[in-house]
Amino acid sequence: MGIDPRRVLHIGVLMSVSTAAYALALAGVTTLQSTADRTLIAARAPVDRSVRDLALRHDLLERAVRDSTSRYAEIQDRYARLGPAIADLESNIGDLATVSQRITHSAAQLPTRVALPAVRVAPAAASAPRVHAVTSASGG
Amino acid sequence: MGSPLRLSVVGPRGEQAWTEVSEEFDATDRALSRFREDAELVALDRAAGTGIAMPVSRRLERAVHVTERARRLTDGRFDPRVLTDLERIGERGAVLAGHHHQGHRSRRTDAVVRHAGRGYLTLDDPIDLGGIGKGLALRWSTARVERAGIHDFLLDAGGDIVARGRPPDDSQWRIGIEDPHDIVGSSVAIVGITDGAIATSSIRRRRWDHDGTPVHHLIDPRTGEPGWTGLHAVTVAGADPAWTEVWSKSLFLAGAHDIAIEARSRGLAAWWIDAAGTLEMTSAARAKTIWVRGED
Repeated sequence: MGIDPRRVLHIGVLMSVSTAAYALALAGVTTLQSTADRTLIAARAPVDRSVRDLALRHDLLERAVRDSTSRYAEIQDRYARLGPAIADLESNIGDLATVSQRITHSAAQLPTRVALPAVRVAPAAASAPRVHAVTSASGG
Repeated sequence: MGSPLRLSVVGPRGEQAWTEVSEEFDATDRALSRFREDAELVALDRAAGTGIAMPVSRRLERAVHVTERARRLTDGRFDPRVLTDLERIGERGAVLAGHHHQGHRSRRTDAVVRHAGRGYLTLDDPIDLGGIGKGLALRWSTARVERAGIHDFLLDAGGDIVARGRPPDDSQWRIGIEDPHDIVGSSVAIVGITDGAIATSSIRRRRWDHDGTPVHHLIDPRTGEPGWTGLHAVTVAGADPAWTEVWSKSLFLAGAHDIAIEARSRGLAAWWIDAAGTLEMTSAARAKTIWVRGED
């Protein structure tokens, strides 16, 4: 019993058609996949920029905090060095207050009226008339 | 201009007059001072001798032109090119690189300025506008106050004085002439001024020792040295404060021997006091004098 040559041809055509259909389907799926990927990348771009910006700000903030810490330490150091001077100043103010109290006490003991001796006034010698201004040595 | 300013105004608008005067003196100082780093004159002096035409303000341009005219009229006794001589004897202003150690150039007959067109000046030598600058500041301030409608006032810039109108208590402003020999600076004579100016060149102040030698600020441009002329003070009254300044210095440098002839030939109202303390004056000055010490 031999094989019908037309059947063999039919099988060959069928296989070719199937392969072509598969290739077309695969191309379609690939195209859809790449379109979806592009859309996703475009959608994520602002988020990426924001993340980079955030990282930069974070660095700046970190630097500012470091500077502030350093300044704080420096101010603290200065304040510590000022301590003795402030103590001296307070002590001097205390002394001044004591002196001031003594002066107030002495002032309270002064008489309210003092009798001065009579003064004789001699008439003034003739002098120049009053002037509105005097011309004197001037510039170059 | 480095001088104390005093303004007396008759009437209620003293504050406005003071604003005008202060603004003008500030502007003139920025243009003509040799002591301020930012002054125009300092920049011009620094460019002296380089041949560069420097852009200058109207104030500085006018001041230089007035000094040039004064140089011609006084036959060189007034010449602003004494700056290096002043610095040499110790009166220093802003630093002028390259001009400090130049020796004095003998009597100058050439012009102070080489013209480079309106608004530009070229100098061969640095200049000092101290005295005449104050006179010009007084001139320009007076014009501003008068333009503001104020007509009775007296403006005193460290002894250089302008008077306008009348004081509240008299028919004319009474100006004392300081006795250069008196330690307290009492007046040797009193002058009456209605509309005019008066200035004094004296060696009572601004004198010092330099290398053991007494010096003062009144430099004779013909010698480059302080002028010891037998006079101690010269006062000139006239219409314009810049020119009274010019003539007082010029007559001082004329010396005790020539001052009378010089002042009278020019019809100036001038008073001068010599080394012995004697006061002399011209007939024009006598007409303005209302009191003289020892004659009352």
